[in-house]
Amino acid sequence: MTGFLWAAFGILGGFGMAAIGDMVSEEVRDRLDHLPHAILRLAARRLDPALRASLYEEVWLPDLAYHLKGDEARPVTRLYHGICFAVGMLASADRSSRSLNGARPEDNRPSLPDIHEGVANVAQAAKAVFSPLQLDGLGGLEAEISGNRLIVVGEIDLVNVKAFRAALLELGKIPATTLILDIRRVRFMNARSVTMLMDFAATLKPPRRVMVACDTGLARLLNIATTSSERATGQWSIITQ
Amino acid sequence: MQDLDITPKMATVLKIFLEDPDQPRYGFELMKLTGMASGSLYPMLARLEGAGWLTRGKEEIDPHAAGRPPRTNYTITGAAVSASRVQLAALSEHYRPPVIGRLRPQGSTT
Repeated sequence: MTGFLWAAFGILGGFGMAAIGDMVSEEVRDRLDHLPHAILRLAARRLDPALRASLYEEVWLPDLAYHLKGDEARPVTRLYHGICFAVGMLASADRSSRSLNGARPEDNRPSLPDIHEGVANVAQAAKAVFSPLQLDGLGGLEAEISGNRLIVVGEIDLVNVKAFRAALLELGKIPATTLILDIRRVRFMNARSVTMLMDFAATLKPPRRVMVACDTGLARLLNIATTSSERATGQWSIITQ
Repeated sequence: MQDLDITPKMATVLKIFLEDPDQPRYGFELMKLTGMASGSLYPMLARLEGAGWLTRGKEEIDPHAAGRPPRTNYTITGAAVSASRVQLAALSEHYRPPVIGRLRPQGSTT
């Protein structure tokens, strides 16, 4: 009889311990889930009060929620990613504040050269007018065709000289007698691109010709690079502004 | 828009924005693509936003259905596209290793 009682107590005790273990585990999991949020709240305290709503509530909290939601099925990974994210924010809260605070008063002050603003306006307002050429991200060239005119912006150097050649080929496809290469907003041309330009002019069958619109600096470069006999063929000419 | 000195880490982030300038990017996505920690990436995004290179948008989700608040996304501005292309080209040129010696055609003796 005594043995039976002990066995019953043992079974009941086992169930009890299992239930308590589950409760403790759930409690710990719940508390640990709040740890990244607690760290993030601590980081938010280091922010400028004026930026707290903008950064903490609109950027950090939704991103942390996304981190935790994405790793929902893996509690340890979720906790690890959440804590890493929050600790990073804690360490960098000062820098984020300074970045936004330091810049805000100057937001409306145009400080870049007109070239960038011009390109932005063109890109936003006249996408249908221009046909952007194939540009690559790193070292890409801003080049657009409008009518019989090829407009190139930026610098033509080692990394984007091939893009310049592609742009010239596009210009050559236009069935007009006079082609215009507008490089007034090009700040630098390397020697290879100058050679390409001359080769391109040489491929045009008269009376087709190319007129190069450029500033005086580039005009000097082009004049130095070509001989008078090449210029005398009349296949290309330079207009300075 | 303010002028910025582009650091190599910033170039990594900008390059992703330039891959598709109209595509809004999220912080979590950028962390994955660049391998950068939140402590490096988010201050940089704040800096780019503060300088007018990036604009903020909101994720279009139903918070109740998704069970989380909508995230903030970032899109590069038109002016920043051209500015960053120019600066990335300059940075690339700056870090290009020097050419040692001259290349000659095979079999050439001079």
